[in-house]
Amino acid sequence: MKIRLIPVLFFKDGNLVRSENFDLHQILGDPFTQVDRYNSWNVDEIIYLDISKSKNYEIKNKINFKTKSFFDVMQRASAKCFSPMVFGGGIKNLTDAQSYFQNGADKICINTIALENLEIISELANNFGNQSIVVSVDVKLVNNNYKVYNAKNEKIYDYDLLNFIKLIEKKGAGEIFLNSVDRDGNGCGYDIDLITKVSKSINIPLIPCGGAGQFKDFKDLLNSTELTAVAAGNLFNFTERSYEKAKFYLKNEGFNFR
Amino acid sequence: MVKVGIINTFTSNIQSVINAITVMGFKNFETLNSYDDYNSSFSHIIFPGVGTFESNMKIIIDRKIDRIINEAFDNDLYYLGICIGMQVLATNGKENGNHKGLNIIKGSVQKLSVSNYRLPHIAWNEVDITKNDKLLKEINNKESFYFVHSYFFNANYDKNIVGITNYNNSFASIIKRNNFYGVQFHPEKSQVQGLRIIKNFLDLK
Repeated sequence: MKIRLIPVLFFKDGNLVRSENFDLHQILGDPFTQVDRYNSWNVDEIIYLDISKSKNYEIKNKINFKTKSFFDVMQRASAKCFSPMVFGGGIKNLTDAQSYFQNGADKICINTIALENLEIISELANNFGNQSIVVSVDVKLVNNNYKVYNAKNEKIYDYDLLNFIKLIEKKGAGEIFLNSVDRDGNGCGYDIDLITKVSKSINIPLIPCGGAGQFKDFKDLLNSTELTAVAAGNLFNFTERSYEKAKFYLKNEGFNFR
Repeated sequence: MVKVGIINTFTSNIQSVINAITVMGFKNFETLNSYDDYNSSFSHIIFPGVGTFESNMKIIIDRKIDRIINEAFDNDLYYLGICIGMQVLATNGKENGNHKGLNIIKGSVQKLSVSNYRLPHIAWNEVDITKNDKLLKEINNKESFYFVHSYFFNANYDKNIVGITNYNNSFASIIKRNNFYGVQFHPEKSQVQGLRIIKNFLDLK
């Protein structure tokens, strides 16, 4: 079984940004160049998320690409990308989801709407198949307990994390994209304890993210828990050919990657 | 003259398929939302797939897309069904109950039996070529393609199977009858080797 190595891109107000603790956002570049690079690196998959707080942003980027619509961004970002693309950020209903698929998404990622109404997962899964619905869960440590976090309104939910994730699976999610808020952008390694617990509690694929700072972090994670996918953001953004190097390293370590 | 009709059920990743055929140099295509959009000018039909068997069959019947596919078969047009576009060719589908398919290639669409593997099967996985075919020109055996599905096409006859893939069990990942092809993986999202399959398909004549 081949493991997927998935780069994550964050789009904010017209540019791709680096994220740290879901808070600090430093501009990396225009919305497309990095996608082109990942496509040429033959990546397994790309997760591309719009994290703009307001959808009425004024786009400012060096390439003078102007639009008010994330759909235009998706169209252009996906036009020459022949690795699977997951898009997300602000999907509210079936109509939004349909527009995502009509504009270049192969799978969609939902977050806030699922936190507010779990039934939307079933609705989306019934229409588009559960295999195309990724549910993103952001987790924050509060008094040493893992809590579900809503990045949009900075709300912390009092759910039991594992039960909540099992419920998401039961409602028809195809995959869980698990983010560790405290590790985001820190490069201090994955939260192996959290990821192991979640991984063992579900039968759908898990895509863990947050904390990868060096290739060894992938190895440490994959040695601790059986996973079919692993994701990282910043690590792939700052080093030339880092994706290829990461794959080479992991294959050398005996892991099954493409 | 190649003219491609792309069936649009509004549940599929149609833009990705359009991107793939465009980059391979095929500009002459139209989307087919219903039988009203269909005419005798098409040479190739692509049915891209996302969605469930049940919801897709309902859309197919409601919009008379079954007439497009049946006429395409009778007139020896080239057809490429991707994922659900492959599965609807079956006799029946067992996703959320038992549903009738188009019965063009005998078989039944069933849930993958995975024991302790994760489901859906979302991975790059290898295709073992079991029959030489023009669709696979310059494609090496055991090349990896992108899969994302929970159900598979259990074909009644080996003669319809062109390639197989293993995920706990082996299943048909490429099927064929006459000019009709079905692939369980997503060639439009399988990098160079996937685009090659799209090109091979559109080169068929």
